[in-house]
Amino acid sequence: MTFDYFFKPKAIAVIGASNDPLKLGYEVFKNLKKYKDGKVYPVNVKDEVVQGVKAYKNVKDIPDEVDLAVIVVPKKFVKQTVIDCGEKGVKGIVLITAGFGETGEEGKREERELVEIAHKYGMRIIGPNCVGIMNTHNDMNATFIMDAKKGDIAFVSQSGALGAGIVYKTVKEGIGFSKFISIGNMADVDFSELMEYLADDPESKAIALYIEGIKDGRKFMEAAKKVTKKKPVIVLKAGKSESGARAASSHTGSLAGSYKIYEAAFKQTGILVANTIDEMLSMARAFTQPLPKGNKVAIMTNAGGPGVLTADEIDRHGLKLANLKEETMQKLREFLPPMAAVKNPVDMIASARGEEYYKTAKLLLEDENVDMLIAICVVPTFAGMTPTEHAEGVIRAVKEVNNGKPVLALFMAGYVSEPAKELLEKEGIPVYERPEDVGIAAYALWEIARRKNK
Amino acid sequence: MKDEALRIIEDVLSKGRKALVEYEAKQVLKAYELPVPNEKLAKTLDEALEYAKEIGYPVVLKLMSPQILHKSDAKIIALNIKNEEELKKKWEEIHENAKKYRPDAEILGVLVAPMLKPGREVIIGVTEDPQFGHAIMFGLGGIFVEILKDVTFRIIPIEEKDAWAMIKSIKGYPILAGARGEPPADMKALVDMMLKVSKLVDDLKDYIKEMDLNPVFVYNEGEGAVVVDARIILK
Repeated sequence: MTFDYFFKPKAIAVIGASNDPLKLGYEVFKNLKKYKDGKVYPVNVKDEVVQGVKAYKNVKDIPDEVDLAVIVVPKKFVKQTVIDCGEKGVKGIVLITAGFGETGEEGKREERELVEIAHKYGMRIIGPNCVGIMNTHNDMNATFIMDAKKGDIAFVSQSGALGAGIVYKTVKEGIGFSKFISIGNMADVDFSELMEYLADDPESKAIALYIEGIKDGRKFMEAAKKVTKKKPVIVLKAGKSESGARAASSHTGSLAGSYKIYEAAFKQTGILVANTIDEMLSMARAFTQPLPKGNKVAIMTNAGGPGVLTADEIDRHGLKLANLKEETMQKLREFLPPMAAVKNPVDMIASARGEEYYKTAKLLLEDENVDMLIAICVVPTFAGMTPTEHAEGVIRAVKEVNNGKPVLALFMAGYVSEPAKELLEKEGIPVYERPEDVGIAAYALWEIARRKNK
Repeated sequence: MKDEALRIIEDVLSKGRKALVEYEAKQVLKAYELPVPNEKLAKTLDEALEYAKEIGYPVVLKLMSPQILHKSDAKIIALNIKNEEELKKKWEEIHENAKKYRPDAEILGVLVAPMLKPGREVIIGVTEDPQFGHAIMFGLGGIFVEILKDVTFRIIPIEEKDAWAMIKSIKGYPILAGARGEPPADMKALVDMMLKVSKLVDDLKDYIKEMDLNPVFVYNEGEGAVVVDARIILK
């Protein structure tokens, strides 16, 4: 597949690989030494050995074929390096070096020249001015930042630093990425092409994009239309506040801020629009679950507050609380204490243990009026309960019923929830910490399902 | 369709103008079968009297001048004219007002139009974005657009489902769907209009910069909609 030379290269050259920990080329090579699916060669004009590995003076000296070159040399050497890569027969270049289009007209011209050279040799460039790219499924970290957690979301960021920040945030929160791509100035490879590649990537269940600006809106829309038919695309677009005070002679022109037009393009092509980083991640994570058949949600909880807050969020996003069948409520009454509420949201109250979670989740999933289940737990630290029994109960029920209904979890007990969260995530059940996050995740699943049904 | 619209546009361009007056804009819309009122451009008072008789009183007079695009500011619209006497008086009045507002105003004629029965007001507009090209806008007219900015956009060309999604996505949708015991508005007619505007702009994207159909009156279900005023700005 196209771009496999970026994400599954047989051999990588790190041009500008360094022994000096103060240089980016040090981090990039250090990260790539862990690469599983191919060889990694350091290229350094001075040092014979880089980080214990035999180095080459020029990419052309490498005795092996090279698919991918990661370039971290100073700007003045970039052009010659790109030419060398072309002569070597390199297919993809990740150009980390900065100082091009982002600096002004002269930089833009130099950038275009690099792309022309690359195309002449049949090469493609990601960057310049980027952090690099990662594929967590083969341990390829071709960046100068630390590893992302392995997972199912492909994340493309137009800001390198924000991308890095989100990578670290997601590691902490236990959210995994399949690919991380910092696309920098998008001098050559852009959102449209990456999206199309990721659409066919079996390791990515959803595509999340952080966008600051798109050069060719029509090309983006055409790609997005195709891609959203295959998998969900979630966009966070920066620059909402830019006012609609565009010079315009018409009423319409004065009302059309650039964000409104972007939003229109996203909606029209089936992209989910996130307003914040957390919304983007919450939505993207939901797609480890199957799509719901309808918009009727059952909520089970051991605490009233989180149940009501989640019900509010469900309603805000146009989903409905399922009307449970009489038979379901009857059966719930049989084992839940008298103070429990058997009407949706089902409040099993704080005494509920793993067994009650199992039985309740099972009954709710089996109820044909229910399209989706949200399992809420404020993990109790009393009455001899273990921190994972509730999660275990939900998992057992999901495995037993196994009827294709999506299940999302909301575990609201801060660090106390950690062991339970880990367990659920391992089973592919996304766990959230805030009602608004699980709410928008449920919305994302339903929205994509609804579009598919049309 | 396209040829007729282009003829009008080329004619305006040949006169060194970038803005179509209402009459010209409506001719372009008419070429694409958008619903415009049965109205005529009178060059003389006698013509105006004749057209008013044809159309039937009450009528509206709107003075057409390329230099005056804000007609109500210049007070060159006269509404609800009930008879010949009144028409003669108003004819003088709007000509005087035009002269006061812009002494150099070139007068192309006076549009004689039927007095339309009021409907729910909506706005359909077009703007051009540097990244995405032309986009169509939809919203409710009056305070909804002025103050609440309750409008929605889609990139042209749009499909029927996009037009429906636009109508349903504005906050004021219940007003069209029929709030407080009112019958629903003719939303099908609006969808049809939006698709025609999309086609028009897609065909003429090299010429058109911006466009306002404002207001459009939409009547109850099955009774259609009509473009009351229109403005087209060329590139």
